[in-house]
This record gives sequence, C-alpha cells and structure tokens, in this order.
Amino acid sequence: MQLRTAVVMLLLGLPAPALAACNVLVSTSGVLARTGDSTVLSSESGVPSVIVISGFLNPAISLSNPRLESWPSGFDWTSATVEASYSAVWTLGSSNGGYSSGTQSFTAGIGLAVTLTLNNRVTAPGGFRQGAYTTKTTISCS
Amino acid sequence: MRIPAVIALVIGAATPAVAATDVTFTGTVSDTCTLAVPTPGIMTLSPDGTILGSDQTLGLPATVTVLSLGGNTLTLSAPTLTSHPSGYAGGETVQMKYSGLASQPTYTSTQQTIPLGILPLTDLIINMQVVNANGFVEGDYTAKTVLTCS
Repeated sequence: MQLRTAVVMLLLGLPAPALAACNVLVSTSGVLARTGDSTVLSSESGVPSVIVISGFLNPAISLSNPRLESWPSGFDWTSATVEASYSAVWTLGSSNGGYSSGTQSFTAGIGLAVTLTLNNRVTAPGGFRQGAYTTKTTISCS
Repeated sequence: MRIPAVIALVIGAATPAVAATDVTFTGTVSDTCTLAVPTPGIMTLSPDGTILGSDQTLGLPATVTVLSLGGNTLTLSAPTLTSHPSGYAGGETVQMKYSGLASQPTYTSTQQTIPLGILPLTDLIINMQVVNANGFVEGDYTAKTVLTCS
C-alpha cells in the first residue's frame, strides 16, 4: 500500500514530460568548394556535414529544403539552385536520398544512433562571383 | 499489476518531442577572373597632326586576354594621358574603343563596364587615341586605361 501510494505521488508530482524520441547529438559544418564545372559549388568537392542522431524507436528524420543563406553582392541568386543529398546508416539499416531541392524524410530502424552524412550543392548556370556563400539545411527528428 | 499499467499509461500519453538543428555549409569562391598576356599598343600621329592614335597608320592596338569562370565584371577606367614631353601645353582629349569579347565601336572618354559570365580565354582589343586640336610637341606620350576584373 505504501509502495503504491509512493508511486502514485511520484507520477502525479511529475509533469507529463515530452518524450524525447530522438536527439541531434553532433553536427559538423560542411564546406562547399568549386567543382571542375565552374557552375557548381558542392560539398562533395569540399567537406560534407556529419550529423549523429540518437533514437531508439524508429525516429522519423526529415531534411528541410536547402536554402542559400548568404552570397556576394551582385550574384544572381535567383538563377541558383540549391540541393541536398544524404546518406544515413544505423545499426541494422541505411537510407539514401539523391540530390533534391525539396524536403526529404525517412524513418530509421531501431538502433542507438543514426549517422547522417549530408551534402549540399549550389548550381549557378552563369557561374559564381568571387566571395563567400552559405547554405543551410534544417535536420529534425521526432 | 496495476502500477505498471499506470506507468504505461503515462508514458503512452507523453507527446513525442521534435529535435532540430541547422546544418550550415560555407564556401569561398576566388580567382574566377584572370587578365593575362597584356600587349601594349603603339600610337602614331595622324596626317593632320591633331590625333595620336593606335589606329593610325603604323599604330598598334593593345590586347589583353581574359578568362572568366564566373559572374564577373570587367571595368576599363577612363583613359588618361600619363606622360608627355616637357613643353607640351595640354588640352587633349583621351579616348578609347574596344572589340573582341565585347564591343565599343566608337571612341569614348568614360569608364566602361563589361559584364562577364563564364568565358574561355578571349581577347579584348583596345584602341586608344589622344586628340588635341593644337597638335603635339616632339617626344614620347603614354596613355593608359586600367582593367579590373572582379
């Protein structure tokens, strides 16, 4: 009886917690570099981003549409296409997504962690002006 | 047996949280434009003695080879007379025109801007002239325009 009361009090005393089905543990920034084709700036020529996501129970992972966040003045950003591709592995499975300018998602299997390798690329038919470029992709899981 | 049921109920009622992070990629583009192998021009005097120009007889235009790997802008500064013999009174007008990767068929004294896309090695041929209705004294004259690609 005392044990039952204690458990009930414990449960009542705790607010209903949001159950963290997954967490983004680590993410590294990527580096874009020019390819042999001067109309493409890609992390495949530079450094891809690596994201580690924890999740036991089939976490649903989504990648937002990649965006061009900054560019040098004078660059015709309206003609540029930004795309992302990914490769994900977990304990007993994997998932791959080719280059897309839209959102992408997948559900990982049961495991301790998902390692996601993300590439971004920017294609500009008129080439790139000298300066710094930044792209961004939002990774979320639930 | 009832206690585990309560615990299971509470866990089942908990709402799943969404975790999110932004992943950033950065890149720097440089050296997308090269100006190579400039050859100077030669200006000679017109028959009436009022024009010193590279398109006069025995004159020679200047040539610059341009390579562009991106969306660049080539700028030719307004032409200027940078040296002349002592005793020269001045009063001249310095003009240029060009052809090749872009065309300015008539002489102009103002700065020129040429938008470039992706361009293989291409020549820009520049003619220069100094016009002075009062003529020129003997000696060497130098006129220039500065090319900038950015």
